[in-house]
Amino acid sequence: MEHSTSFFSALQQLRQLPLDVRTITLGINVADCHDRSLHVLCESLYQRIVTKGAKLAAVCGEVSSLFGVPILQRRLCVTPIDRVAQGKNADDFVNIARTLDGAAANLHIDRIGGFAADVQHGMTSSSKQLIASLPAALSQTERVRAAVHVGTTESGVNMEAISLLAHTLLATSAATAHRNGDASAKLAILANDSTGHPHLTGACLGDGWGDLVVHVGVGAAAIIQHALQQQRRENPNAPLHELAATIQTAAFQATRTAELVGREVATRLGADFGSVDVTLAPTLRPHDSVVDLLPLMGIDRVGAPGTATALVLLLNAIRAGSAFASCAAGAYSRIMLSVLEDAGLSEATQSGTLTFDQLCMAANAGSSGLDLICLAGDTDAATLAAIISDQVSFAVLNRRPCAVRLIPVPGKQAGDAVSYSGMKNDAVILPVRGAGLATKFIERGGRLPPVR
Amino acid sequence: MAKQYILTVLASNRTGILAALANALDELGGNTLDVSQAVIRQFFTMIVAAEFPENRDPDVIVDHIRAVCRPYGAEVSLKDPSDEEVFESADDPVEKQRYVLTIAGPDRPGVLRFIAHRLAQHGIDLVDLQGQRREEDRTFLFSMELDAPLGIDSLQLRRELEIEFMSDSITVSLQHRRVLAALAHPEPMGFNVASPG
Repeated sequence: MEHSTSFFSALQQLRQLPLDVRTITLGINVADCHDRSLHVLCESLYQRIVTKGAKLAAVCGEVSSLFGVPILQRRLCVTPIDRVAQGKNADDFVNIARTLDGAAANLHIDRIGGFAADVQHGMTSSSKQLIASLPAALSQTERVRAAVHVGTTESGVNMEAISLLAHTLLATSAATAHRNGDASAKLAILANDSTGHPHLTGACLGDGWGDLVVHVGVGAAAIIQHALQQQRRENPNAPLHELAATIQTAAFQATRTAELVGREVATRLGADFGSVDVTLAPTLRPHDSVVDLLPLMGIDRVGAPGTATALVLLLNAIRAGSAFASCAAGAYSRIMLSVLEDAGLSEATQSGTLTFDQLCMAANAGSSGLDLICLAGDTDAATLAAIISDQVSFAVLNRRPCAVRLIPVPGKQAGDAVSYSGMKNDAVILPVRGAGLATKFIERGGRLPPVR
Repeated sequence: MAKQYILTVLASNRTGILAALANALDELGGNTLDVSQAVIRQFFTMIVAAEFPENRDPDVIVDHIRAVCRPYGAEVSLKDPSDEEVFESADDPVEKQRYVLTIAGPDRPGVLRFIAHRLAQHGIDLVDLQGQRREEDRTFLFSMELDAPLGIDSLQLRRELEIEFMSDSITVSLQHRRVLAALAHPEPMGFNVASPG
């Protein structure tokens, strides 16, 4: 006789879901640590982070064992440092970065964000000093992630800042020339980060949050992959709307799990629960990224025509599923195509199926911007600035957040292979066509007016 | 003053058995406190915790139920909970976490034995168990609800079981009750059973 209780049939559907949580981010307010003395400032920053974050690693472990849901990455973020350290010079900022790095290391945390500046309208002297400190700060630290917010839809784009950042990127990369310029991978250039939402790379604890906030990022790729594989077994030729429905359900389950885990971590830390981020991003696990979903949808390799459609389908389904799953799900979910962290993408760029131009255009199909892309070391600053401003313009026009992380690799030419410690994959330097042809445009400086 | 007994009834499963049983209990002045019923193959089984008047003789209860349910061939046994020495009480102060363990795969002897031993080693209490074997492809699926003491590493436990059964292609899943609830109920978190307490 068949058991037909609802308990039993529900179980059969729900068992074996590969649930996991990609990130737990603890946001700590450090705005009141400001002091005229650098020593006092660093000491109080360090003490604040170490005290507030002391239990984070342990609590993540406890909650992960309790629910049987792995938490893949733990992060910290603090109030943007350009506001905390007003009136400090570039050397002082390097010391602050080292302090943040030390505090994160002490807590066994993978990343600390918040070494950040907001310059969408113009630059304060401390923002300028923070940007000037970046080459030293990023090459001398391990865990610090920096971010500069250069524009929003409402306020327009600060092109002067983008030019300055392009020079900074080159200097940062030159400072770590012996490590293939890996420090520049830790600088994200952001746009439309209006709430200071903590999920973009290098993000900070923005305005409007409490003193201590837990944000959670879902690891949806594995569960969507599982659902798509199951659907392929049952109906290999399912039409696209059924595909979308399957992805939507999987996104619902991933978001629910993430929220449950995030709320439990928040309760145990005595923190507010912030938001759930459903950005699809690669994790350290093999075959756990967006690119591995495309073959299941019928696109054999990323970059083939149809990739953009598939990405749009994915992103919409994920947004729909997560919006129903949780009131705390952010509306800013994107797809992260992080070339260096994603085996599939890296293979596609090496084989030539995926070009730089296609990666640029992917921003219009839901990608979060050019992420961890290696460029030739002799790329000039104006071309870098133009590449960044293109991505920022897409984001500003589409009213979506974006993050750009570029790595000009010193001494390498287009087509050369590079590898990094700590990154999963080797990468190939992508050729940029028409480099140097927009110099006069970029050198005009000034600002892009707001999008009406 | 009412007296509590635990009754188990095993009878053939035909329409009317529950009606007959309920009649018998009513005639004895019984009141049901807690009940669990299942149908396994062609048999009806039920465990009842019921209250009876203080002066009701246990033999009378058993005889009466047996007589009323005679057409169904009912076997009845009765326990007086106050006779039993209680080692673990239900309101144990130790905090427990509820998990659902599901095991499925090709049928093989000894699976349940292995799991039961492993759970016992960890001090995990089995609260509910259901399972079946499908004859057509000789696969089985069973699932149990577990009460685990606080501090059990469920990831580790699942990995142990997975490794044990990997070579037989038997799959193991272990989920916390609150994770299942969060996935199975459409209400937003904070309004549904996934919330603690």
